Amino acid sequence: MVRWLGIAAFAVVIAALPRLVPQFVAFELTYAAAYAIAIVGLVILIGRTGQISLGHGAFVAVGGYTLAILVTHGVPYGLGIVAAALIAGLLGVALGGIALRLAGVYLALATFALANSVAPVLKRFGSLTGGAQGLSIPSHSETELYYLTWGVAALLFALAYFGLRSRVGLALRALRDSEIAAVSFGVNPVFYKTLAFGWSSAYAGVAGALLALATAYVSPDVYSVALSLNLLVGAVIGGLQLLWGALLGGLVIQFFPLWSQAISPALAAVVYGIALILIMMFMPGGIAGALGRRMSFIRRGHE
Amino acid sequence: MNGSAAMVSVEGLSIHFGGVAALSDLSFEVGEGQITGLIGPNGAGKTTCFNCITGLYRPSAGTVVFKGQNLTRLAPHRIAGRRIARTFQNLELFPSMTALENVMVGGANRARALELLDYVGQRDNAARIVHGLPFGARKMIEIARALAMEPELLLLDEPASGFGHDAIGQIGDTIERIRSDFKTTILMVEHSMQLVMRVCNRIIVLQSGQKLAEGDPAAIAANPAVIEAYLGS
Repeated sequence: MVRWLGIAAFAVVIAALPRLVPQFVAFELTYAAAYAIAIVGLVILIGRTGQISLGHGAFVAVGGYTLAILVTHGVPYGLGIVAAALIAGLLGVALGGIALRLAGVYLALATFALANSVAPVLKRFGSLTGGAQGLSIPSHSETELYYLTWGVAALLFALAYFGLRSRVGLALRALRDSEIAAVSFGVNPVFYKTLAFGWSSAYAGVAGALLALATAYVSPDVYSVALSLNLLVGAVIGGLQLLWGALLGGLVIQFFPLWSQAISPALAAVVYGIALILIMMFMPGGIAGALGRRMSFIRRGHE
Repeated sequence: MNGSAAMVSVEGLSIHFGGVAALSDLSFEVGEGQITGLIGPNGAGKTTCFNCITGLYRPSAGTVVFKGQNLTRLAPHRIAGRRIARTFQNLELFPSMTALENVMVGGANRARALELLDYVGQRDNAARIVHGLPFGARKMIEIARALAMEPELLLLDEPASGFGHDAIGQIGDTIERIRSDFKTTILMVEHSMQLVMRVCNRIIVLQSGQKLAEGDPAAIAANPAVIEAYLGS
C-alpha cells in the first residue's frame, strides 16, 4: 500500500515537474529517464542474472541508429522506438550466445570489445549511417520529449517489475544464485541467459532511440566506451538489486557530472570520482540498497 | 528386485577425472516404489553417481536408463523435466530467495509451495530468506523444493548429515512418509547405517568407484566384504 502511494506520488511529481522547474532542467530529466531505461536493462542482466556487460553502449547505439535511419526515411518515431527495441534485442540474443560460453571477467572483456567496435563499424557503413558526420533527426518539442521518455520509462519499469516477479524472473535469480541447483530443477540455462541478454539489450535499444530523439542527432562519437562504463556506474551506484535503483542511477549519471562541474570546473572528473567512491564505501548495495535498508528498518519499527 | 520393476537401470557406468577413475563399470537397478540405499566410504563415488544420473556429469562410458529411456546424453534441465528431483550433500538452495520462492523454482505454485513447506515443518520460514536459516531448516526446505517437482525418482544425498543421532528416527519417518504420500521411488546416499538399515529395501555398497556388494539390509549387514570395508576404513 505504502509502495503504491509512493509510486503514485512520484508519478504526480514527474508529471508536474515541467511546470515547476526551468526548461533546461526538465530537458536534463528527459536524459536521466532515458539512461534509467538502459540501466534497468543492466539491473536485469547483472543484478538478476549475474552476467556482466561493459558493452551496453553498443546496444544504445544500435537503438539510436535504428530510430535515426527509420525516422529519416519517414517512419513515425513510435515505430522507430519499437524497431529499436526489436533490433537491439535480437542482436542481444545473438550475442547472448557468446555470453553463454564466457563468464565473469571474460564476458566483461568480450562486451568491452563490442563497445569499442561501435564507432569504427558506424563509420565504415557510411551510406547507411552518415559516417563520421552522423545523422540529423527532425527535432520535437522538449515537453513532448519529456513526457514521451518518462512515459516509456514508466511502461518499461512496470514490465520489468512484473517480469522479474514472474516465473521468468525466478528462473533468472535461480541461475544467478546456483546454476547447479537451477538446472537440476528444470531451468534451461541457455534459454534464460539468452533471454536475459536480449531483454536487457532491448531496453538499451529503447534508451538509445529516446536519447537520439532528444538530441535530434546521432553520431559515432556519442557512443564511446565511456557511455557503456557510465551506464555500468549508474547501475552499480543506483543499486543492482533493486529496480528503482536504476532510476537513481539514471539521475546520478546525468546530474553528478553537472554538479561536479559546478563545484570545480577544473577538477570536475575528480569530484565526480570522489563522490562515486564515497557512495560505494558507505552504500555497498548502491543508493537504493542503502535507502531500502533504512525503509525496511522504519517499517519494522512500526510493527 | 522383490517383484517390483526396475525404474532406473545403471549399466556399466564409468567416469574419470584426470587419471582418477571415480566410477568404473558400475551397474545396478533401482526398483519402482522402493527405497534404495547407496552407501560406501568417503570417495567411493556415491555423489558422483548422483551427478551422472542427473546429468551434471557426463559419464565416460555406460548408460543410465530411466523408465526405458536413455538419459545419458540429456542436459540436466531435461532430466529434471522427467521428474527426477534431488537434494545436495552440502545444500544448494538459492540463498537470496525466500523459502517459498525456493520451493516455487521446483515447479509449485504459491499455494502448493506453502503446503509443501508445511509438510516438512517449515511453513513459519516461508517468507524468510534462506541464507540465514539454520542448517536443519534449510535441509528440510531443500526436500520441499524437490517434492515440488512431484518427482517419480527422488535422489537424497545424505539426508541425515548435520542432524544429531536422536533425530535419525524422525528423518526415517519423514522419508518413509514421503515415499507413500508422493508414491515416489527413492535412491539415497547416506552414512548413517542406522538410517539405511531402517528405511532401505535394498542397499548397494560402493568402494573406490566399484560395486562391492548389493542386497537387502540383512544380507548387507552380514556380508563379510562390507564389514571388512567399514571396519577397515
